[in-house]
Amino acid sequence: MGSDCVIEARSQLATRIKPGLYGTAEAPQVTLSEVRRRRIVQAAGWSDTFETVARRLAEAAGGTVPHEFGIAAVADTVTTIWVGADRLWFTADDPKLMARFAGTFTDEEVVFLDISESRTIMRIRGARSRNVLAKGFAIDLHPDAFPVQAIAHTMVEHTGVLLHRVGPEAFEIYVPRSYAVNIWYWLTVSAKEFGYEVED
Amino acid sequence: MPAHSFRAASGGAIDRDQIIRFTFDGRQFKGFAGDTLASALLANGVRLYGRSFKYHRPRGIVAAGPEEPNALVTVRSGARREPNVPATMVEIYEGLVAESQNRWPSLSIDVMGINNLMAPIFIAGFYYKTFMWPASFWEPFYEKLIRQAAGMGVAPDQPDPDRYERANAFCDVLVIGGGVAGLNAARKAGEAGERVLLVEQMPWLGASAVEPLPDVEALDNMDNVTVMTRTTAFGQYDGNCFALVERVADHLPVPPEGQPRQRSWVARAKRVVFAAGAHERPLVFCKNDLPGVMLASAARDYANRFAVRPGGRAVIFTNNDSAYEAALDLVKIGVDVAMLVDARIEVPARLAAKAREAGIEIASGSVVTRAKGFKKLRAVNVARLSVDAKSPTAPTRTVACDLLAMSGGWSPVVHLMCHKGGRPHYDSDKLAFLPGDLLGYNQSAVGGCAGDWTDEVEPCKLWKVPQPSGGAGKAFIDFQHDVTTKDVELAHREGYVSVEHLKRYTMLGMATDQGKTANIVGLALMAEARGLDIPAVGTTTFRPPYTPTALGAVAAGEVGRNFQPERFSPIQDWHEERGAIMVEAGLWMRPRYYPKDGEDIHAAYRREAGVVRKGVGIVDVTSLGKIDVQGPDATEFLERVYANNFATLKVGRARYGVMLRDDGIVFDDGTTSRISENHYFMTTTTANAGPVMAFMEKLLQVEWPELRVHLTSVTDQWAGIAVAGPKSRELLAGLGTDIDISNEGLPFMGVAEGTLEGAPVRIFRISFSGELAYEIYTTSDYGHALWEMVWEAGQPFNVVPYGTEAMAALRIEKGHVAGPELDGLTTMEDLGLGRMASRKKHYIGSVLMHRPALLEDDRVKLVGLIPVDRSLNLESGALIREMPFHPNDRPVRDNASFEELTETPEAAGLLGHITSVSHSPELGHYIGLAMVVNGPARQGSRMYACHAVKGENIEVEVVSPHFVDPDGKRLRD
Repeated sequence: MGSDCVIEARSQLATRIKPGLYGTAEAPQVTLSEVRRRRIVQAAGWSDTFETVARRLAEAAGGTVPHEFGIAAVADTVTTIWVGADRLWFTADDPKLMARFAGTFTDEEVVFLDISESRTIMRIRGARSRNVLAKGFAIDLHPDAFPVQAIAHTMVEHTGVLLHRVGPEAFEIYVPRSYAVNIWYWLTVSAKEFGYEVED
Repeated sequence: MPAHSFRAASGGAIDRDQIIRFTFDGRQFKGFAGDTLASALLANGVRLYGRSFKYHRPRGIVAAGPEEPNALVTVRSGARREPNVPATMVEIYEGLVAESQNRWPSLSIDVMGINNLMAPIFIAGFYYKTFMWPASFWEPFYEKLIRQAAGMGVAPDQPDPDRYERANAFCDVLVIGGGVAGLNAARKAGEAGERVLLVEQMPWLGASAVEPLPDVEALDNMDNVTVMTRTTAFGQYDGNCFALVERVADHLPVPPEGQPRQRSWVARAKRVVFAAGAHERPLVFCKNDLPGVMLASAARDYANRFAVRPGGRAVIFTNNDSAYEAALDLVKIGVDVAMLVDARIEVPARLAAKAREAGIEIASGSVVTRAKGFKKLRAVNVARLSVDAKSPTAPTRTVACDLLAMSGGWSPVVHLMCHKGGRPHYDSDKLAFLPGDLLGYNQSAVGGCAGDWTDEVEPCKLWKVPQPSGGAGKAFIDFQHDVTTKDVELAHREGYVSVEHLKRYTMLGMATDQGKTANIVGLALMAEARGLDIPAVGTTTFRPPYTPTALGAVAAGEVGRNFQPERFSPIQDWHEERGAIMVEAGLWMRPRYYPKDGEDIHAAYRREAGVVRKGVGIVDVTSLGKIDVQGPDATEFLERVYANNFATLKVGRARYGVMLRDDGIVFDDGTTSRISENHYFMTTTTANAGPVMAFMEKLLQVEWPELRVHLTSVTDQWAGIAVAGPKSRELLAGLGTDIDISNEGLPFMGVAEGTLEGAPVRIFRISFSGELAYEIYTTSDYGHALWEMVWEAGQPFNVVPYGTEAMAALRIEKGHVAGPELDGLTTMEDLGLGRMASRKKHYIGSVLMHRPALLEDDRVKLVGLIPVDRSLNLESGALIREMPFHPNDRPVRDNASFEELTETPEAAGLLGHITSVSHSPELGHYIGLAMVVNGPARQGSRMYACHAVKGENIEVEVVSPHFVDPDGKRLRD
């Protein structure tokens, strides 16, 4: 699906994202954008076999299995995240991500689910990213406590989200789609004092 | 405009190049950047700041920080007006408007000052004693009168225009207090590489120090140290978690763009250093509340930090060493210090020598017995104390002065340390409560709040100055609430022994300052009266907030649209463009109806529902809970959670399912479809999506961990559109999917997967409306486009979009139960679904649903109702009786009639209530669903729907709840 489609794939923020500069700062200290076309495939298995199955899954996807729960494993274009017991997310900017697993596994080993469109992914980067995020996230975002590739399943604005640090001053927030307008609004209000740019 | 007659020509930490104009009670004044309202007014010679709470006595500045009890002012105007702010905490800015409070017509001439003369009446608890009769006068008359006569500023009556926000901070070390001790602790931690957060309530660091401190510069150069001024730690919570409020823009006319007025922080620290300092205590003597009597430390701060002479001629009165330094600093700035009165017989030799050197006369073993003056201090009486320190001795000297700087010793700021419970420890040498056992895990205290000071000569106990015989007048303990020594004595005489009761009775330690300067003296006097030691009397309980905190900061932006999140479907923009009126359903915003040509809600939903019955309508059903159920044991799992059979459900088919709670009561309903052998797509009601998911997840994790099933919420992954009405198949045919939607290809309760122009779609032939209907789902990115395509395909059939109101009308006509019927009290049998419940398997609720109470014949059961007079409206909630209410439909308008009605429902003849009503487009009149005792057996009879509040009885016919197409023919066509 996705790439072959002729009807419009529309962002939940279609009418909310307006590229431009906002706030009073001379130079924006934060950049906000939406990550589009990211695919998320959930692979979930059973505890007696999943250790082995996970390795095979990663191999099929072209990624690696993260060593711990709170850190994403990034290999090539595939990011792998633990999202629960015997549950992994594989994400990649590839419409054919699901196809990488086709025909290799049985239901007895693992079940797959494409949940790409259940999340709106927002990216924030820039010198003041942490200051903005601190207005909602009750987790320590200092690099010592939350290094690059750290993952947190946490809350912001009463909404369960996944936070991923993708760079020294860059984060992605996976927001359940129906809540996206709220979180985007919160991000823009929180970033305003630092000046922010919205990128298309 | 008055000159800065009390400002020294140089010195202080103010910026003399920045002149700032402001008004106080309408008068223009000038100050400098760095001034507080208190310091700027003092520099201009203002001594009178407010009137006291009860007696309306003239009051001046006492302190220089947040402990100020007297000088409460109202700042700003209009929607930003803020009452009861200590002038000591207001930073002046250009155009600041400040006003005094609790006076009329003016601060100088306050007619309520008459209260002072009536003081013998206005003793502690006076309103319990004097405004008792007649009792009916209390609320309409006495209370209003007292509230008008006593009090503080007036709250703003407009919504706060400013924004507040929340933020989180994490650190290795949190240092609370930016005085010398706090700065030093922060520097040490910073140099050790720890992440340090230092918070200071005042706008400056170093407390009383004026010269730049080396620690400040050192901290400035450390990347691992964050210093926040204008930030008060106001509450301590478990796990070294602290609530802070940062006054981001209180020192500015309006917050700069994008910035909040205040920011509410939650700081979590691995280690905490309390460095909150200590509050100086006043001394208690006759008329000690006259403007011009202030704390010695405050006088010193005004002199040093603001280069202000708080008076022209001063007397210093102390029981400890610290006031000597204040005296010397006052001399330095040009105040004529006439005398230093030290209650101790032995004075500190080194300090006394310096004082004498500066020309200050020292009166040792002496006390100030009385302050003299009307609206401001003019002189003090000084007398030697008798050898037993119990009375002053003649002769009394009168010393002219306009400033009395007093020091009654120091109280460490242990407030925050007490917030987690526990009591401070009394140190009888220092005459102070110290942290003692209050410090918790990884906590320490330094400086004044740890009692870290020494006196060359021990301070002497002087909780109140003994009065000369025949001396009259009040000696105040708590300035803010006008509590005098006599009030404490009275409370004791009347039998109050607990310090907590003393507080409530006299109001000692209440209100905005929470007795920061008053508490210790009050309880010391209580102890004295009871002949006990201070620790035996105890202290009152300190609770958050340490200083008054705006509710706006506590709410921290969670107001308006941020009060709770709103969830939107991918089709929301279309609904908005078409002028849909939205309604909350759980957190979801759903179209309620789409008004056309000025229609009201009634006209709109009747039209929409009518079109669905005759043509075709579409409704956004994205908000229905959707749960993906997958795994080799998925079928077994569904068998266990649903009351009806699922093992026989074939791939490509859907089934309506009912879920019970453990206790046999209906929990939720919805449709579940079998997508493939081990893969199901479950829907739940909008409201119960979360609870059902959590319930089932708990079953898998706790009850049946052996089942290999994974549940995933896919509510947000799929957008759903219900297409309903006799023309719905024709509409779908025009859509161009690759799915065979013929009656044979997709029969009732059939499910098919396919694509539409490349987008994935799932079509379910299911119906909530009772008409031929389909639900068509696609992944959310395509939801909006699919809706538009369905809309276009529907144009030849005059399709309408319909909202939740029409949806309700249709399901009530059909007799489908929903939220109002699934109210947590009803069983499947009650709802007419009993035959669905499997008798061959075990499932959640299958045991307890057979409890005798759930099987009784006289349970309320679902029926339909029609008004006998078809022109009448029915209302949800109306009570069902066999007879109308009598006589003359006694309305429930008071407690007695309500209790009479509800105490024994049987006696009141109550047989049930209406759960849902709607106008039926199909039948052309109102219909209702109701839960009625033994309802099905009453079909064909007449009853009354009684609206107890309105006193209205409507005769109704009891009918089947299936008003439309009871055999379900339309669904299957």
